Amino acid sequence: MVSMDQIQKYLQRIEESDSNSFLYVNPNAEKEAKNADGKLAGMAFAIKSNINVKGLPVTCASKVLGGKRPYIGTFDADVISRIRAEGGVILGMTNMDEFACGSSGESSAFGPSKNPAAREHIPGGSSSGSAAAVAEGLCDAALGSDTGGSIRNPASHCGVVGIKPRYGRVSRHGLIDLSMSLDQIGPFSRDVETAARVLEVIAGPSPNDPTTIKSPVGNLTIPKRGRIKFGISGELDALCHDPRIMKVIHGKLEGLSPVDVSLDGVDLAVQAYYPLVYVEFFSGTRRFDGRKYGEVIEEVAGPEVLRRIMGGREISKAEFKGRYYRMALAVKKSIAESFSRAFRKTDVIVSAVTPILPHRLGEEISDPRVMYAYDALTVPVNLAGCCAGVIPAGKVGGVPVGMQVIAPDEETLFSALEMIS
Amino acid sequence: MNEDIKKQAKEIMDEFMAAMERAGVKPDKAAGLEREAQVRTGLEPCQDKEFPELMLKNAPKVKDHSVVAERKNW
Repeated sequence: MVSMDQIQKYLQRIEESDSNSFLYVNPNAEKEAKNADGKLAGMAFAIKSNINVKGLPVTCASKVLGGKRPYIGTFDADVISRIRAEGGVILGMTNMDEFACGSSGESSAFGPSKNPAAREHIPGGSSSGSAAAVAEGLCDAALGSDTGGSIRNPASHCGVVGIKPRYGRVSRHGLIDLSMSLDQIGPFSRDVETAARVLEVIAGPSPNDPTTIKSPVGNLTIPKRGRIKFGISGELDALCHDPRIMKVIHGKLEGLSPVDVSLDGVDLAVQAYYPLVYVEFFSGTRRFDGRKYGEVIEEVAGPEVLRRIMGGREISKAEFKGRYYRMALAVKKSIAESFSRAFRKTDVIVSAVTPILPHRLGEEISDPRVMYAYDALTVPVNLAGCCAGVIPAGKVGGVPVGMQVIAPDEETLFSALEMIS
Repeated sequence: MNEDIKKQAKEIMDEFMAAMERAGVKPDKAAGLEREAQVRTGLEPCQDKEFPELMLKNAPKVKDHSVVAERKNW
């Protein structure tokens, strides 16, 4: 049974909120909620603005698609069809870093979202609005996309649960890609059980995305594994520069007797990740030539989008020497092998999410390498193709700090998250 | 401004490559082979049974189980 009061309450809160989490509210949300039925009946969702929802603006928080001739979704992405089929209600489209290029939420062409859990700090990115909307209680759950940490980073900074499924576990059909060999869609929620319920619905094979894993999704809401072995990696821990964050993480592991595992190569993850993203993003953006939506991407996009396009173009030209993309692929393969070896010794690996606390909103960071370093602990997971979840672990100076749990599959991941949350 | 961004992007990529070279990383020569393995060269049937149906469903114009391609239309 759908609680119309709850949907109306959310819509009212969104209207009153000044967090800039939502870029667009679905005017038909109440109407759609009336006939909702299924596993997610009446659950209210916020959707990142790079996922196609039929009839709503899918702008990627950019003037390219939200400018002269805005792009209105012409179809529902697989994840949206699945949420609707189980009675979920789409409340609207959320703010994000422009074309998912960023880790702070500040590169949106429509202004940044505010972090409801630490108002003076960035919410993280790129799925900034989705994490902030959940943290502020503007919806029950939200969808984001994670290419190098874009779900886990804002989940940590906003103090909510965020899940990056395995590559291929969730269909990417209808996602406007940043880097198609790494992108994954995943849920945000305020508790682990809700995230599991949502992932059970959106995950699974799809004929629309040939990269989806063919096996069906297990029951994620009932933990299968009785006893979970936790692992920690000295190589990952060394990437976190703030001892206060590490104290929070290690505090959560007390009594769990974690084993040490080795993850060779993760110190090169950022250096390998960005060439892959630059090249694939450059390739993916060639369709935004202004003919259909009125704006040429190179003329209206922000500096980070331009940097990736121009860098991608340059290294694509130089690729015949195999110096960039293939070098990065070699590191990607080696990191995947490291995780594979580590999972023979442990069920899950625990780490911090970001090396430092989120900076203050508006604080100027002129060197992009400083921003890229935010991803050091999250990109290894995307390169390895495994799954990871973030749960709130504590606070440092009033700012939420999340804990990342990395696993070889979602059943093991949720068993571990249930155990420690 | 665009020239500055381009220069900066190239610098970052070169710096990242230098870090990988210093660590002794060798380019993954097999990376292209994966793609070659996916290219059909002969008359063998498509492995994915659903693909032809999906292709035809998405095509703007279909005739006798074939896509009718019109220049600049698809």
